[in-house]
Amino acid sequence: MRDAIVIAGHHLRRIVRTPGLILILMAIPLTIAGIEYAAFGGAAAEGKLPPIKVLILDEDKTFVSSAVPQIFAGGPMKDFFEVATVLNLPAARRMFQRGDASAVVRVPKGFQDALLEGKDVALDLYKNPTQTFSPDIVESVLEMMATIANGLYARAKEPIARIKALADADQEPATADIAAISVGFYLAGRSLGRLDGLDDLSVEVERQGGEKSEGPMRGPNPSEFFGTIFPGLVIFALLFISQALAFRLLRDRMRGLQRRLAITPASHGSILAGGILYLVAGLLVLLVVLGLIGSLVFRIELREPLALLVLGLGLVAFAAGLQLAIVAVARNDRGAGAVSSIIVMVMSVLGGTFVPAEQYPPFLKSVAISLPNGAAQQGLVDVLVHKQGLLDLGPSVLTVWLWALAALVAATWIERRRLVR
Amino acid sequence: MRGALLIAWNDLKLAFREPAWLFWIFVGPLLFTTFFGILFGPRPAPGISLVNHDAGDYVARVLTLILDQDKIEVRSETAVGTKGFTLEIPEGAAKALAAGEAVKLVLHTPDEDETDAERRLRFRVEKALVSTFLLANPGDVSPDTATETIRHRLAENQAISVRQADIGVKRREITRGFQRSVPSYLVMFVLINLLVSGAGIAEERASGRLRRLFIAPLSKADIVAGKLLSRVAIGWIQAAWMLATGKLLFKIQWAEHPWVFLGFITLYAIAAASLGLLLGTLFDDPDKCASAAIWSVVILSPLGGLWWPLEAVGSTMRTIGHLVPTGWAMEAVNSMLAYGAGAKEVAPYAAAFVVLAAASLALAAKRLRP
Repeated sequence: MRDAIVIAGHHLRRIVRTPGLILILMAIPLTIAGIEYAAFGGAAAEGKLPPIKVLILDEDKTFVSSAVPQIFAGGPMKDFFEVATVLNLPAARRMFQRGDASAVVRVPKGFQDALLEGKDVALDLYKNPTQTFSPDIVESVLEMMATIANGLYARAKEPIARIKALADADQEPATADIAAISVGFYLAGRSLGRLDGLDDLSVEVERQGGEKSEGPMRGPNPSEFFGTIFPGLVIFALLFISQALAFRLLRDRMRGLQRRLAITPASHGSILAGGILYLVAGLLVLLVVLGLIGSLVFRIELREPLALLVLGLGLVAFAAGLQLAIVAVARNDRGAGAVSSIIVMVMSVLGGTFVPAEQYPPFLKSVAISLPNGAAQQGLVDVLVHKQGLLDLGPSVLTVWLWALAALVAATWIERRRLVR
Repeated sequence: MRGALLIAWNDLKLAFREPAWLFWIFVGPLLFTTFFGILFGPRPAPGISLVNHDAGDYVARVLTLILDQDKIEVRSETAVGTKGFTLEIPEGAAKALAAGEAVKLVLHTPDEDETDAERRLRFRVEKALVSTFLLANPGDVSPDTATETIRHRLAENQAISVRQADIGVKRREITRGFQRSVPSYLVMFVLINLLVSGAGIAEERASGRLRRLFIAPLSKADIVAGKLLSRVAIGWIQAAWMLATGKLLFKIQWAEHPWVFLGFITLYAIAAASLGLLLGTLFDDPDKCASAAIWSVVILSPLGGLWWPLEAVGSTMRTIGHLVPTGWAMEAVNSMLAYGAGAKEVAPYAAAFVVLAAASLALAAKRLRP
């Protein structure tokens, strides 16, 4: 055991002497987390997205058409949209191409006249095809407002038609006409009063398990935001760092250093254990450092230290076993690099490093939490954000440790055979 | 020139012998494109089951008609199931709607977290509920009101409609699924591979191969041109591979002006290769060079809108997106795929890459030493 510690200590001292590569790799999760916070953190904390820019192209220029921008600029919608007028479609297209607007609403010429004549009329919606959800939100709001406007217009249709008929005939309205128009508008006005009732309409969502939600919920605070995204990024970086650490062992072997070690009184078991210890200890220290940076810079609350330690140790044991197994079978660092990068990348994509596994379809979600990185990520998020304890993490801990033991056994078996040869 | 071609050919042969290169040129990008294309692809609108607890079926029939207009399949059920979405209409709903009183429908979802499908369905249900409310005259809300009458009234209530139109060219939905993942990962992987290729320069220097090349009867210009050419070829092969798979496997929309598109991709590859060469001259350790390259791409990709659409971020981040090369590439590629933009419209982005390529190549050539 003493020999193993000496060997591991020797490897670790070399890392401390030339830390450049490890520092660059450690900067990756910190950078991504910072960019993600700059991109989404504020919006997530406020529970709403940045305002969506809607362009209005008013070709009618009438009293009714001037009310169209109010759909987005007035009432409860004003916080979600930014409205600007645009002179023509080519100007709108230029803004679309730069991603500076999400949609154009064109009010065609004759819009007001058509409504007064009781004819059907359409608002043209041009959605920015390079954007994803914002144009759909504009469409939804416009559709909803058209629905409400149609409901009101249907009530006021009759008096409007009477006024139009009188105007077209160029005649003075009779008392009966005035009475009929007044009654018509009175009834329409009552409908308008009914709009207050819209506030009482709601669709409540009930999830399996009985959880209920009504309307948008407030987003996570910065600590929760980073607590959700940071673990996946740290695991991603750790897997690549483990690759870099294991490659030092491979290069030692290629330079004949390991052969020299094998002819010393140290046993094969000690050499092997030294390698494992070096990787596990090195990775664990780096994991703790990244965790502390996350706590200091991103204000992540490092709670339940025992749960974090159990998950973290399982994860670094898996990473060490995986990389040792790869370098044990590899002939050179290029081959090892290819195999390791492929495995790490595939695991990261499937495990939910880049997109939270909650957004995956059910099948992929189950794949994600069956992988060691996915299970560890889920476990860490459960501790840091959902405030769960070690006892609540059964499946995640079990998955991580089963993978870790399998990887360590495989690495030990392959490396021992190679050492004996 | 012959010397440059020989170096390029040799580098290409070596690259294609490397399993890692083969993976990152052909397999890795395809994996990312497929995975994220499927993940963010359009999904068919889910159907919904309707459980009616009201005394009559007026509300259920109106909701069904309106949801049907929105192409949502509605089934009638007697109890809430565990699979799919179910909408419960509470007792007294029709009476409450007619009286302008509170009505709460309950949407049961099989998912633990909110999904895109749920959001869309919920909006449609809310819209249908509002329509039902606005349609509900106290006298009309009756189980005796014929469905045809309701249908007629709904049709009458459509004076103002929303019509989708195209701006410039036929509307091309480029942001969904593969139409976004193919160009995004094309831009990202060409950049990552060509920047990481700089590690090859550092490695050749460390192993002494570059020194051997410098004492061969070749000019420095030949060496730089050869190194650049091989990398541009790699970038081009990768772009061609991704566009071919995108077109053949994922049926993405193609640019209106293919030669402009390919020309732009070539310029982008030249700029990325030049940056890679420059990076190779900045590091002695190939591992550090590769890690710095990956780090650079990790920063530039999200900033340029390759990982997520820039519409989702605030105005500052959007402005930054206009200033980074990945943002230029995405804006130009989007313009060509979505609007059929031609040479004139892409020219500013192309010019930016020409300047970037010229500056980094000049610096790389100056710094390149054995």
